[in-house]
Amino acid sequence: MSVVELLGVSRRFGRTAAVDDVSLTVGEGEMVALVGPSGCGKSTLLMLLAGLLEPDAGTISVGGRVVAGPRTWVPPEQRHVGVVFQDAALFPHLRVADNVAFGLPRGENRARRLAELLELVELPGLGARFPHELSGGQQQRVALARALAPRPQVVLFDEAFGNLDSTLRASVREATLRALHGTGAAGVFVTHDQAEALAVGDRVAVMREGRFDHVAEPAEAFHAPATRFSATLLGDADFLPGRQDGALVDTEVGRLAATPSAAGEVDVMLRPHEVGFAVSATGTSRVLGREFRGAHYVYSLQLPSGAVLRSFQPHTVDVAVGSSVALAVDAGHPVRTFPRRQT
Amino acid sequence: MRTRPGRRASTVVVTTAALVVLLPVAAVLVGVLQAGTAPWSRVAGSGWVPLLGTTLALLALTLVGATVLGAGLAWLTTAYRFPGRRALQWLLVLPTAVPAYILGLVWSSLLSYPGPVQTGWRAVLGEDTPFPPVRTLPVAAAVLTLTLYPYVYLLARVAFREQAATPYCAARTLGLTPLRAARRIVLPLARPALAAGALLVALETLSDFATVQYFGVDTLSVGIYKVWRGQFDRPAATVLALLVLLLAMALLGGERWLRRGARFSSAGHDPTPMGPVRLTGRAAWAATAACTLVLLLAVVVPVVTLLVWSTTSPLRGVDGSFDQTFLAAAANSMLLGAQVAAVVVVVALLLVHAVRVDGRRRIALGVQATVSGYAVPGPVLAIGALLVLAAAAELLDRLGLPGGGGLVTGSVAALVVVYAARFLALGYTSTEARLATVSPSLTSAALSLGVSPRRVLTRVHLPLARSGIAVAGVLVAVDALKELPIVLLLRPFGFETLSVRVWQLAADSRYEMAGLPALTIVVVAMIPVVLLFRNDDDGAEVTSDVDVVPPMEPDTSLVGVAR
Repeated sequence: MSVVELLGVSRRFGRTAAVDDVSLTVGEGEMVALVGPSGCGKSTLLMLLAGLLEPDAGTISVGGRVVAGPRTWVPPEQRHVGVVFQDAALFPHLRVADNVAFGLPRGENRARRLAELLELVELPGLGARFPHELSGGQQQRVALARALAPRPQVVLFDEAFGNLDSTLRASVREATLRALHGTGAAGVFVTHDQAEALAVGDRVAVMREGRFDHVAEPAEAFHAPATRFSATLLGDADFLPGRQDGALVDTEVGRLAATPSAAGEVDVMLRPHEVGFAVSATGTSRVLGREFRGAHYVYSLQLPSGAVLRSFQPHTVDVAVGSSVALAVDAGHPVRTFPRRQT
Repeated sequence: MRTRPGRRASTVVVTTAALVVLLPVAAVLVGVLQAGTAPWSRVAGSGWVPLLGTTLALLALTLVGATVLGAGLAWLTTAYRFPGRRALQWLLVLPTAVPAYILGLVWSSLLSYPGPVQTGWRAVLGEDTPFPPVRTLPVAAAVLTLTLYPYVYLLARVAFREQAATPYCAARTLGLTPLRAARRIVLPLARPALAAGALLVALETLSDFATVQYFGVDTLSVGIYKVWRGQFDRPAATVLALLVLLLAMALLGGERWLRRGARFSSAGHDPTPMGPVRLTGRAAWAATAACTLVLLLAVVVPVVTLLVWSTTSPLRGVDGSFDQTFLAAAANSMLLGAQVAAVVVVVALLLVHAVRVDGRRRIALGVQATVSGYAVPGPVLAIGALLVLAAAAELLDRLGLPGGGGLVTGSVAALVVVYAARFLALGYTSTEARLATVSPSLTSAALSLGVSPRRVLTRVHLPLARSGIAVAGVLVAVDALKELPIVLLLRPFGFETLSVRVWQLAADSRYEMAGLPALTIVVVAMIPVVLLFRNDDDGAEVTSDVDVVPPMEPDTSLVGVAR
């Protein structure tokens, strides 16, 4: 059974359609990552789900109950949808314990549930602190505990870790996901960071101008994106002209297995980790430049036709700019091709 | 993302509040339409054209005076360093604590024929040297200028410091002298702020009918008071009220026009504060002297005079007995202030809460309409309220219910409601400014946790807005204490507040008796000024207060800060 179901949901702000006829299903315990550039409507979608915004059209169900639709409207406090905000949004005048217990129903054994929740987010014993006495990562975990307290069926994360610095981010995210999975609640995770989306999502939904560009499992979304937009949004991508015939495509770097099956002029998507090279006096390509990124180098390689591909190499591969090299592409899977763009 | 779906409770609260504020205005309009042409001719008989002319002349003089003085002092204290600047820059807000009708009372007494100024003049220049006439429009305008310029001063300071700092520095590096840079860069950039300050000055001037009467200046508002209290000519007073209302709307429109499209701000980054230039030698002392002179005229002389009067006639009535009326008036003022503050604070919190939990556009518009009560001149609000009360009394009569008579002669309850309508903007801005520093996602978080809006109010919004509510309460109570036009028009027979007492004693030329009540008002009114502005070294507090006010109402923001 699906925990969340959106059917043809739209929401306009003035003339712009922030969310435009969107449908999505989130299964039990599933985590869906919504990713897209700022202004694509992903946060609006979240607010619609939480009941903090009203849709102009469409139906939203949570746990099998219609919470928004024609002639139906359930206010946020009756939806059983938890939200974790980017700024944590802890109540500054309440202690951690009171923050977490804020949404606990009366009658429940509050002390035990509280201890349980703090344990779950790996912050036992911090109940007496005030929010300003916590680090950013701790605040986010308290926010999660608070959202989980009323036992929601789904928790929404609105750029929840966007305010944390990158070193802290991964560990807080991991702790959060562990805690969430522990409760069995589903999640919808909004982010503009593609790496984060690929890391947390059981499925990734790429959003663009209010619509879903592609909804798929992370590997599929990354390796076989539905559009060029998705392709570049989810990671570095270069496009190389080729001529496709069925499941094979001929390019400047050789014949490759291709998907989907097509015939004619195409562009082949190649990601930098799929491109290898070797220094060779007879090589027809040339090193145009390189960028040091700590763990690896990104080399820019110019092909005889003038096209440029990027290649990730370990930091031990030290090749001078201007060297002649021979290219070798090994994707390990059929490469994604797109019909040639008419320019 | 503050748009939230609607809620019935917020609709009810906002609609009720808006109705209470707008009903008197509507009553004036309906009253004029019902009355037909007859009252116009009666008003014309007593000459509404000269009244309008006088009003416009007074407005023009006061506006120019307050803008030049306010902006000039703001520029002096922002751009230059001179002896005493740190103290002077907040002391210059103090004149706002001396209401115009008290400042006017003091100066009209000091400048009168038997007063010290004219006595000294005769002693020095001889008995027959004529003293320039005192009971004139320019003198009235000067008095109003001296007490109202802080509105312009405060807003101009913020504008100079925040918006114009970087462009000013750029202009200086491009070879402009400080004065030329001020004229070509700072003044144009500060135009919206100056317009907002000038609007408040104009609205206060328009409302006043006490001060100007000391100086024999007959404005439209004076006309309202005389026609209403003297001749009980309700239709004629209504017609005059409409004229005042139209003037106020024209002023509002003028301010919008001056601000047209111009939302100058240094968007997105913290402005570099302008380093003040150190003045030396004679220029430095001239700057100090100029600021001190303003303070002398607007604060020191009146306070000392009131002190002298209070001590020469200590709590004694006309017949030498203890002045019970003072205590009674003080008690009335305090009770009235407390009630008004309580009502305003509760309604303001409910409105802020409604906007937070219900993001529909019509809620925001309703709150705007409610808050706009500050722009309706006091006399108009009072006349409108009287018309509403009269209609209510008539309705009660027709239904055969008792109590109608009491309504028409005015009641303290009606007074509280009208005061609340007038000061709601002040309370709302203070409360909202406090809550605006709290992220809207806090409200969203509370709601998503399954807690009812009412509990969000009591457990989140109320505790978080508490300091703003306290400030709002104090400001409103003090303003209620100072308020005069509304209470003069609306008070039940025999009901006296301190301000009414000052006014009546002044009207009887019993200046010394007025000393103690007037001094009480001034001293109490100084409290919030000192609390809010003394630590305003370079305006950090004012700045943050004005900043967090939503862009729709920069003018009301000042109301919250200036009083």
